Amino acid sequence: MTVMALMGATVLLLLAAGFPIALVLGATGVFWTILYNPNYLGGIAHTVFNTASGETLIAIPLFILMGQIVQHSRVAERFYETVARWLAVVPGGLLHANISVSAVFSAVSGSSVATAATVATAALPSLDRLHYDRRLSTGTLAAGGTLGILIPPSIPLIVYGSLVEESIGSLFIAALLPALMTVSLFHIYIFVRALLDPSVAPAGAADTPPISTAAALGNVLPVLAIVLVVLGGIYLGWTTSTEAAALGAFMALLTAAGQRTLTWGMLKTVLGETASLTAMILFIVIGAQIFSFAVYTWGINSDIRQLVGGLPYPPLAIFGIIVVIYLILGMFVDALSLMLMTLAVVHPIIVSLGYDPIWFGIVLVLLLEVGLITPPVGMNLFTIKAVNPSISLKDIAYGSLPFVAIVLFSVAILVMFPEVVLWLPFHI
Amino acid sequence: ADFNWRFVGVNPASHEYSKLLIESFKRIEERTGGALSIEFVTYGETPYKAVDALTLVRDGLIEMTEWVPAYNASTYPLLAGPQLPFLMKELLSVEDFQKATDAAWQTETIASYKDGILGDHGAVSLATGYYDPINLWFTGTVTDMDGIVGKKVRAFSPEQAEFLSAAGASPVNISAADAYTGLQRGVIDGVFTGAAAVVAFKWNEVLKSGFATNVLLLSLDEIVSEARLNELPEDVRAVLLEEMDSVEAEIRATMPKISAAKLDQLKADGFTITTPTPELYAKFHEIAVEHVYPQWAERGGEQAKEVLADLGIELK
Amino acid sequence: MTSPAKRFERAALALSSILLAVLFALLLTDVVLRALRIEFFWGSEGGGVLMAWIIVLALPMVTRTRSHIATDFIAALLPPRGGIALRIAGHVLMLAYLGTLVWLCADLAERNFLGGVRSQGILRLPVAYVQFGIVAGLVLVMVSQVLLLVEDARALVTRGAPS
Ligand code: NA
Ligand code: NA
Repeated sequence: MTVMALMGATVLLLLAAGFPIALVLGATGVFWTILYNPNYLGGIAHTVFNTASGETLIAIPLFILMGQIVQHSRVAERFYETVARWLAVVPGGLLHANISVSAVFSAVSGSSVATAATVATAALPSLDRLHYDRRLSTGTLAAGGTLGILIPPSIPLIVYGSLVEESIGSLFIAALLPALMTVSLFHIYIFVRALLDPSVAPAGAADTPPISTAAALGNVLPVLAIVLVVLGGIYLGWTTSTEAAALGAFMALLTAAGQRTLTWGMLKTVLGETASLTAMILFIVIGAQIFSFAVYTWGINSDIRQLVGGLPYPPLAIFGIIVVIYLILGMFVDALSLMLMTLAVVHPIIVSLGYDPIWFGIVLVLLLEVGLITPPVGMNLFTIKAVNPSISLKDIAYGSLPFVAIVLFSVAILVMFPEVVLWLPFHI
Repeated sequence: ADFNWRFVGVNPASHEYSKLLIESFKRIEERTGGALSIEFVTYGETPYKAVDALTLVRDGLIEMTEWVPAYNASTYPLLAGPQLPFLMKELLSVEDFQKATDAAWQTETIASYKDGILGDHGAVSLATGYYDPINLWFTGTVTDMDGIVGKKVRAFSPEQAEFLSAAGASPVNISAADAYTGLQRGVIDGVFTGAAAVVAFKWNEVLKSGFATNVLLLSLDEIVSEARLNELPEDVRAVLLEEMDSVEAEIRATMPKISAAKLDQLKADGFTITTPTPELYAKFHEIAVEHVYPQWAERGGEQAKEVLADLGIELK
Repeated sequence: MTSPAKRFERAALALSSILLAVLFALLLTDVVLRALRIEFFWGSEGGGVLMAWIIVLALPMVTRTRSHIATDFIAALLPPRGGIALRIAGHVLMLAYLGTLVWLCADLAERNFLGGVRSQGILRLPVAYVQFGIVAGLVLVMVSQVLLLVEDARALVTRGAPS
């Protein structure tokens, strides 16, 4: 127990010094392994080799590639314009477009930051022009972006599945209903807010020249085709999740080519950025695995199992404590890093409490979503600010607050009705 | 305790073999007056992979572990010899199949080859056992040779892949974690595995039929670092060796029972289990002799031909 | 002195990009060939090898462009010189970490290599390709890290302003 606390303190100390998270986790792992017994250092080499050549992680670069291709073409702007036009008549107007377009782009992107950046770039100009409420409009964009890691494909879910050895396909399928539920709750909230105070969402998005139905479909269908190939590929069994990623990237290439945005230079940029992002993410995963090697070496896993087994509290209370810890840490640490630095300790607890690991994967992602939109460190808040620097972080954070509550409400529903997660993967 | 060891198992703690090991570790601790304590953990709890069992022992990272030789057959092709598909000339009872496979491991070429590998890694095998027979399973109802044609089946060795190709099916390589979803959604139509694994991985939820046809017996060894073993005082070592001998006997006695029980369970679940006719088994054996063994002999070199001769297989 | 360095980082990233394109092509081929019932193991088995190379070859550029994710809001509160000093400490720790990984990985790769060429999977791909590739890549990352250290050390000495 003492060792566990000291290891945690080492991580927090190095984290506060502003060192790269990959270094923080990896160096802590090396340091504590040496303290245990330098003879076990050799195990770290096994860890590095196993992680770097892990076959299940291959889906990561391919899903990033797909998202990058979409981001670098003009697909998103056109899609947003069309959907905004269609939703203009509903109370809440463009705010609904923010959420539904985020949801759709979440299905072609594995990361929340990429989703938020893509949609915010397309949406912010219109929202400004039509005088939508600043807080609510940026809040919907930041919160909508968090769907990127919930709606498959999801990089955190791939990493989770790979580390705890659960089927990534099952995790993706399990995420569908909770995602649908959360998206609906977002829409309901916007609808009610707009009914109560119509000034937050002034009517009329149609201040741009009308476009033909054919043109509108041309803007929307290619994106839906990518989504269909990825989700359909996994859900209907044409492909494994890794191959779905490859097919999705291929579809994105076709779409970009169809819209004449595919160039040699764009391809070069996209491949380079994908390789860099992959390296950055996997370097963190390697660090996290070295950290969990130290956790394993010290026998902390079995200590935790014994400790949790002996606690006089019901599982729900322990689960509640874990949720609170994630909310606090989520204020400061980015989503993937947070998952990687906690999984070695939290996963054994969850399993010994009797929770299903697939269910927990989805709940965990919802908790990570909250961290993306809570200050002071909220990657999606930063992303919206980066797209339009004139907006204050405070406004974005305030605007996101109601959505924090909604996501937590979703978590509560999943706790009460685990079938929402477990029904699709195991019964259909 | 004077000696605190970890045993890293391939099977989960709930597996029958793991239970036998855990029981014996308890007895060892009692009988040595607490001098030797062996903690059971599984590969899933470690950052290691079961394919690295030998190098982990070699590098002093693990005192004791389970080694599945088939996992290293890619590096040491001869290890595939006693577990080539359809090695026996006729369909045997599970008990006799276990004896025949064990005899194949005991042939001189194979036995010294395996000991050599263990020796190179500073490891010693304390017990050798076998999993219940690997069989062929399908998501649809398949009862004959024709049904296999065109099916996409998960294979985990070159020999299995070659057999499938020769039988008109297509071998697919997907990870064990993806296999459930793969079967469920039709990415693959079948798998090579044992009845116990079908139940353990919940693949029975997505599979419908199988052949009880003794494709092969996968062997496993409980191995220990020679250096760690030699450190033990003589009396403690004697207890360990004795206990592992009895674990070996227990595992071998348990295997046919597990096989029968799991097959019964699957039948009760509504599985169509086909026991092949002598003609169908002979057909399987013939495909293996013609299309699988020659390629294996190629990979294994001169020694592989010796092994086949020792096993009474004549290549055409 | 940074220009040849930048050239090697760019070249490594370009190579990584090409390998990524190869991985992409292999997996697409896998889907198509399986639909045609043709056996093909390169997608799943070759992927692991490519993945390892893609990562280590792209890491030097990630290092150079300071793209590693960090929680730097506390460090940002420090005066400029303190910030740089802390950054330098980070570079030194990173070098020590990378050096340890190189040493440990090279040791295991060598031992595996000397103990007979290990191979894996149905294709029997030699694991040495992966293992020595990772070691070589990590050495390249160390070079980029040293250059970054020099850059920040100069900034600390000459201006005390963030570079
Ligand atoms: Na997504
Ligand atoms: Na946060």
